[in-house]
Amino acid sequence: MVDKNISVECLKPELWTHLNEILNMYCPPVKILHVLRKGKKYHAVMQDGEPVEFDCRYLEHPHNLLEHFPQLDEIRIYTETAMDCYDKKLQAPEIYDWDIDDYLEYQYKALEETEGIQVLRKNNFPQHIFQPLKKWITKDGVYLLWVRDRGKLYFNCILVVRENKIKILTTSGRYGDDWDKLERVKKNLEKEFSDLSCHVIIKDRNF
Amino acid sequence: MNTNVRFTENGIYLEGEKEAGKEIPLYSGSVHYWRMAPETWEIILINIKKMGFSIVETYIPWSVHEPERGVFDYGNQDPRKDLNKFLDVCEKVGLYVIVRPGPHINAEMTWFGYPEWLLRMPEIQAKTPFGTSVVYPYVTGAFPIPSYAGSKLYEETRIYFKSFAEILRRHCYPQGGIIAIQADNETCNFFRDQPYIMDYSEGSIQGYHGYLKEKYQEIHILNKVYCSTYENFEEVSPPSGYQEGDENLEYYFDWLEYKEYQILEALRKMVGILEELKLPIPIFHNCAYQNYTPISVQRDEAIPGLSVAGIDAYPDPGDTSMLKERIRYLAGSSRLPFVPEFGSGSWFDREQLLSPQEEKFGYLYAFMNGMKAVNFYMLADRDRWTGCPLRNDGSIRENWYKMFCDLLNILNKAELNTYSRTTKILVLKNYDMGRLRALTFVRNRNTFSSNCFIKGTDIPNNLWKTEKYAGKLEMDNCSGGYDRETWVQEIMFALDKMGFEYDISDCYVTSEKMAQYDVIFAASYNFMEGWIQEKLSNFAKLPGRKLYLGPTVPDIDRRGEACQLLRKEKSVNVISNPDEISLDILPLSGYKATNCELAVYKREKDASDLLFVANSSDKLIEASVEFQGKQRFTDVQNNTCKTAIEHLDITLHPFEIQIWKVKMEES
Repeated sequence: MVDKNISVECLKPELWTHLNEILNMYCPPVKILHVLRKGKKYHAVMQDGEPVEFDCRYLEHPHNLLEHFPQLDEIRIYTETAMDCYDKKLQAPEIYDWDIDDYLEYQYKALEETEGIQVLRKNNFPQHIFQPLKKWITKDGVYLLWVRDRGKLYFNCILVVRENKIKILTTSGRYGDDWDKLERVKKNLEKEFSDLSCHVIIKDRNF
Repeated sequence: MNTNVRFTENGIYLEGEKEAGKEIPLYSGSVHYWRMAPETWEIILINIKKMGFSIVETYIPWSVHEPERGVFDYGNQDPRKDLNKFLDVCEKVGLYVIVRPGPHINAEMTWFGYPEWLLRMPEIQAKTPFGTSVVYPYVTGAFPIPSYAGSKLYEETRIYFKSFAEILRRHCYPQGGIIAIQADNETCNFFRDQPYIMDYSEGSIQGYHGYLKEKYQEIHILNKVYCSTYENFEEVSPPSGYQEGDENLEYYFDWLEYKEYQILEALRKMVGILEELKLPIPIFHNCAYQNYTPISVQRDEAIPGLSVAGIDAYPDPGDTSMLKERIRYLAGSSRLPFVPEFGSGSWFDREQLLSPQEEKFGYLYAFMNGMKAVNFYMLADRDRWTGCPLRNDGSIRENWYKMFCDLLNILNKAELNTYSRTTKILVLKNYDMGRLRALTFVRNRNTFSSNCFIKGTDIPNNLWKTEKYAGKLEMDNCSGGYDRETWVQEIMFALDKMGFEYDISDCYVTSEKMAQYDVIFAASYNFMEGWIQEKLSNFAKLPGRKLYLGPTVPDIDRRGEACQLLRKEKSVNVISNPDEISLDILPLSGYKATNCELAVYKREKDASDLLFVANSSDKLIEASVEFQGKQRFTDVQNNTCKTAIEHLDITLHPFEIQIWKVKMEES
């Protein structure tokens, strides 16, 4: 999906500074509990590294941990041997030929398919940003995401897709004084990328 | 030709055969010529000069100039790659140049600036403990991390460097503008600084065996230390994690020290390759961010041919704690506290960009805490980077441009680089404690995330922290990175609270540097190596010096053997509780601040002082500075003057730093 030589240009900093907020809207951060099984014992930490304790018996029925810790979105249970196997898969030579979205997809799939690793999810939040992106970007074209905050432009992002790869990542900053005028930006895109269809999503902040 | 270009404690000294010597401050900014249309080079460089800069910096990426093995392009095919012409334009505009040819570049380039054909070579690749390559999951494509251990990387680098040598030679000072060159870039295993991720390649293991042989000479000596029964050094397999309950720690310490040695060797080789080019300019290096294993600025600077090692800095908005520690560490450790990459704008896959005001605060705060030289990375937007004072076409981005104009005006007008830091207090972190904290993990996993688009399946490193540490060496369990120590944090907090400035370093500080301080606070536990105890003991014996250890006095070395040099030294004091530090023991600067942070700099030639007063809160504050006598204060930023007797009242806006030049007035 992401071309190895993608050009990232004309990012208007006043818009681009909101990137993380926008990414979180499409791919919210999840609370994960990581548990390392050591025989009948365990060692567990949250994503920030803070240790967590619970009754060992939960390991026999780990689904109950999701109820015990209602704030969690996901629990992952590992063994050292399983993680060695997993790490080997993730660093096999063929991965260097893949696009990064395929590699990320593989990371999560392999986690669930490696013997000795259990992944328990409470919900179906996207695991990485390319999952929602792939639902939007289904063919070649120019894709414009326009996010408003109380009517005013808050963030935008333009993706130019050719041969199923994102070739250009940019913002309306490329159009000078027209940068905050939606209709002008659309016209400019249609003119600049006249061979591609234009797809626009307009969202309000906190959608 | 007799050319003398060298780093000084204030910047760079330039002297040509036909030019009288002059010292200039080292304030530079980065541009990437190959990412800009050649017809824009001149306007971009002119606008950089108009901001007040006299130096620019650029990478010279390998993947740009040798995309196919043996096929070089320096503008013969793509005019954007015409390095010679770019350097001509720099000279035409009147800018000096710092060059950074890598081979490690990063710069958000696919494959980090290495040619793909190079990193695809299996013999180049570093290895994990289970034999695979070590992946770096960059957003434009994952790539395998090269090994520093094999010879192939250096052979190929040498060929590449020779390809541009003649161009650089033509453009070196004084006939040209190039005044310095950087060896490699952030040499630190591509941010994989934990001990058990890499490098377990054949070349690295061979190097490890050689390292052990050099250290122990005979296998029976190693066996005595390790409590092992190896028949030869080649039988020793490096650790891939801490064996829970293992009391024999030297085996792990040796692996960590070997990794430090491997990085130093890599840098030494890169410096050697640059020296072969016979360019009459000094060589420097930039550490990524580490002031803990496997990196140290002081040992980098001990490499023959390497003049200065700095540390890069990319603070978050409003950050003070990272900047204060990092810059003060440079002030206490380096020959020239230099930040070779200080964020200006940002990489495209960063969660947040900084506003011009936020950037300015960070820059002034760094100067306040001891930064003397800086390269702003970057000054012109380019592919995968935004937020600079100039856009990619050379047009001005008003607010950022104005900020830099103001900043350079302040720096140049105040002649900031000619002032010297006045602190007489040094805080020494314990490098071995950092190693101990690092080695006590049952494994380390590679990181499969990189920046905000790539959130991979990372597992917190703490999951692998051993729960059965069995060594005799006291462990500090301070949260955070390897460089965090409870006692050190408490000492720094106490000194901050009392308004005392201090520099920071560790055991690798030179004795000459130590002697510049009156008071040293050195973190010590029940263990400390003999050579470090001797160094500290020698300092304590110097007239007028005071050494404070804490939280305890060492009785053993790393191997558990008795080592009590410091315990026997009568002039050594112990501070178990940093709240007990008394003002009596601390040297005074002549100024005392209330309700703000204060830094004092002095200049002998005109007996003037430079005061930085900072408000790092989001509130308006009323502060004051007390002193003796009658002084004349000039605000460097807006030129207002006032005379004050014994105290100066100041109003500070949120995140404001004021700089006052101070001269004594006759009563």
